[in-house]
Amino acid sequence: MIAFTSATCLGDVLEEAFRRFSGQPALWVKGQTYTYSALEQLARGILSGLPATDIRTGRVAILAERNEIAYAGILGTVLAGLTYVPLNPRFSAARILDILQQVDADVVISDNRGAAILESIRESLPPRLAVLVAEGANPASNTRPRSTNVRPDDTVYILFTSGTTGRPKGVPVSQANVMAFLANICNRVPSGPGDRFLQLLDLSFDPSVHDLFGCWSTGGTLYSAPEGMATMADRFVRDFQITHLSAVASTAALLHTQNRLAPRSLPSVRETIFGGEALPVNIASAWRTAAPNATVRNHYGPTEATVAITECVWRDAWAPELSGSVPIGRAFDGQTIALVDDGLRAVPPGTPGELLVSGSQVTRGYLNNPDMTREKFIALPGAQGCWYRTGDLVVDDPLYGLRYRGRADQQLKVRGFRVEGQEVESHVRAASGTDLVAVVGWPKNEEGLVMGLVAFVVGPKVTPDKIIESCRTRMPDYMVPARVITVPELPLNANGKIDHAALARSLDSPNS
Amino acid sequence: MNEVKDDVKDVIQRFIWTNYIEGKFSIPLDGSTRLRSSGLMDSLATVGMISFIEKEFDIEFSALELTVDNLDTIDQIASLIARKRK
Repeated sequence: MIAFTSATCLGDVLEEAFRRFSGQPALWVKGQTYTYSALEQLARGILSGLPATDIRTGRVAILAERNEIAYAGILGTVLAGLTYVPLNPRFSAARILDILQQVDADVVISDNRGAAILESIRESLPPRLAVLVAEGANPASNTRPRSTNVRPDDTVYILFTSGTTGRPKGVPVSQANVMAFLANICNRVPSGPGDRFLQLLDLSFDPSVHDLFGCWSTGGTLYSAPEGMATMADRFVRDFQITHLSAVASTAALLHTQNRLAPRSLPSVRETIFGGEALPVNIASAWRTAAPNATVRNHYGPTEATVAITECVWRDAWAPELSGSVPIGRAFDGQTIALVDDGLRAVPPGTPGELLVSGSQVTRGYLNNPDMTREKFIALPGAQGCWYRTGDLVVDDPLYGLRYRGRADQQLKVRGFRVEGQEVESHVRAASGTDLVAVVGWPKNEEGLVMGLVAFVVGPKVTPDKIIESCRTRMPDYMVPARVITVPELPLNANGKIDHAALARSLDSPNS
Repeated sequence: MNEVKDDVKDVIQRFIWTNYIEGKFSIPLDGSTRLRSSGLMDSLATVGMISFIEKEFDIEFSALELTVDNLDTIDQIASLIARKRK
């Protein structure tokens, strides 16, 4: 058992693990397997070209596809006790530039694709930023010595929240935050040498923190699904005999729609973590049918609270009685929650309130953004510590634990009625016989008030008219979508979640 | 042999055209059109296409074959299918 509680920094834990498991496979990527010792050498070699005198902020940006450069770049940065900032080559050049400027990185490590993007914005790059193209890099013999003075407050990584509007916000996550999170994960999710983790999600999305460090601290092998192929998760699970994976619900829903989740077809899986978006009950059931040996965990957590801060372990017996989405359960050890109204007063039991979180996983605020930090990281009257306002509406159900009810600020008001988009989506799913459903508020009148709802469905079993008719029998009039539009697919944002804003914009364009 | 392969290409081309291109993009579609790396198809469309091909031609792609480089054009896909059916 790795002692996350006694060690002070992630680099110490990984150093110990990479020594202990040196001859075992650590990473499979693009058809190549790297042992723990080979990966460590590559990782330490990548940063060896950076002179110690060039380190000012200690921030290392990584702009690469999910390849050995990205994995080794992250590992090398963590082992050196520095801060990694994962960028995604699929981000726009403007977003990449904005993040590089915000973090004031010492160096950006890139592959050829990343290098081409950097070349296109070369004129605007911060002058002190070193560009290190690591394509074809050999494990160097001289390695960077680790900074000896890593403190619990030091930052392990900075992630940027995608945010549908406005400038991306940087969230620095500390050594203490990451160690608290990993201690909670390793207590809950058993793993060890010989286990095979599937890495589906982008490195700029925080479930990857669990995938990489949960796997490598316990001696497992990380299998990286090729860029752009994450939606074929079932085939990777089967062919690599995957035991552990984290996924977003949309991936499972898509596989279900394509009839790719045959009963008992994924028997190797022992642990599945869903996170990042609501997990529909029928998708949890479908996954369990395909992966009968898997514990299915629904994790909830904003980036600001280090990957995940609550968990619900799915039980098959719930399927007939629960509708909508799987609960988000209870807070991790050492973390506290509160449900409050607009005036920050505790809501009565059974009433939805905004979820506030506090504890060792909760970060200290946004990068260079004191105003937003003051707004979102607050003191709560009558309670100790710093609380992060998640902006999520949650209800505490005595039977199932916390249940997600949508975004507090995106709760739709249709002609004055409060409507939770998720609830409408679950009815439209049932009415249309497809799991791929998204509901948006549209159109808006001159005051910006939502006048109706539009549902987008992929591959419905019945006509749009029938869906609307069936919705009328399930929901009050103001919740029934005025239009149901069949689309070939739902747009996803950079994190693989359904992009509701893009759907709303598609309705605003004159061709629709 | 070539005729069989052209048949395969026609079937895939029709499927892609009808499901992912028609009414969305005004571009011609042929055997060398880049599907993924150009953004015409995304990862969702890819699952749909692969599921269709596996059923239609009674084959299964292995995890090692599933890369964008292998499946970026109709020509590449048809060659891969031809190799698997041998």
